[in-house]
Amino acid sequence: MIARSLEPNAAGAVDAVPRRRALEDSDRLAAIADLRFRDRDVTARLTALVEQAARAMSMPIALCNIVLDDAQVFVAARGLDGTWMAEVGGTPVEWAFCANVIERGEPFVVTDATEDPVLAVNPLVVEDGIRSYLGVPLTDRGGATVGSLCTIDMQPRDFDEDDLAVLRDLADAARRVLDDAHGTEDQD
Amino acid sequence: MYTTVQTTGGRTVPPLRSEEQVLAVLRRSLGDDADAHWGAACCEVGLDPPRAPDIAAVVAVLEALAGRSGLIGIVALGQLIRARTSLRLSRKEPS
Repeated sequence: MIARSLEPNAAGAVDAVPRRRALEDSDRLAAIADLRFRDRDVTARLTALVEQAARAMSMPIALCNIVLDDAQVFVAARGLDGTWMAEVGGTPVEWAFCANVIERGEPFVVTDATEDPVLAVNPLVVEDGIRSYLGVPLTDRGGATVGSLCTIDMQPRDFDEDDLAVLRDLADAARRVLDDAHGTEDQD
Repeated sequence: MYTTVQTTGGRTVPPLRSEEQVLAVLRRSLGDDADAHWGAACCEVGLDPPRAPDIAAVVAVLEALAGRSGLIGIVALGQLIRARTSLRLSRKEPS
């Protein structure tokens, strides 16, 4: 079992500002602006990867998200059909578990969101029922952390190193999909 | 941390942003170019004068901008998702 990374937001307010800066970093946003993550062939390939993630980890929801400074964008989603989140195509960034991946630059693990004082009052937990989460960074070819590949459950759950390895491998595959799209753009 | 308002149905939603508030966000990333983009998109969706006086107009302009490539496209997309979240969660679910 891997330790949950959310020890009551251990660093707390002390490093909240640098973390927020990571989200708003202009170089990171410029890197996102260069990605072709909304191209149909890119979303189709990323959708195949999130379906693979959900199956491999037996999780009902898997997402590939691009995390902007003010919102997260669901580039590929499995398990959200019929929800308001699918209709909207994302959430405000302050509700996004994936924002923690960007802010920390490392995997973010939540075994039970109701046990964390910050996440326990997140509307996605209180009103939509999210309980557990594992997300890993999605980087571009320049190394910028542009988003996250994640799995979500409505039940508490422990994760192990195998889960993390699976998700990291799929995030590598997702990066290659985005790289390929970059290559296409360069040839235009 | 969670800046929200409550709907009459008790659902938590992010507050809707006015045209000026959205423009302020766009200016943060794009500087003065934000106003040029905004004005052009207003014209594109048929707003004359090029202002978005209500939330429906703001959303229409954001939809036009979010379809563009580059930084303006993603900054507008973020604002569009926030607005859609607020509007969608404020809507009463069919029983």
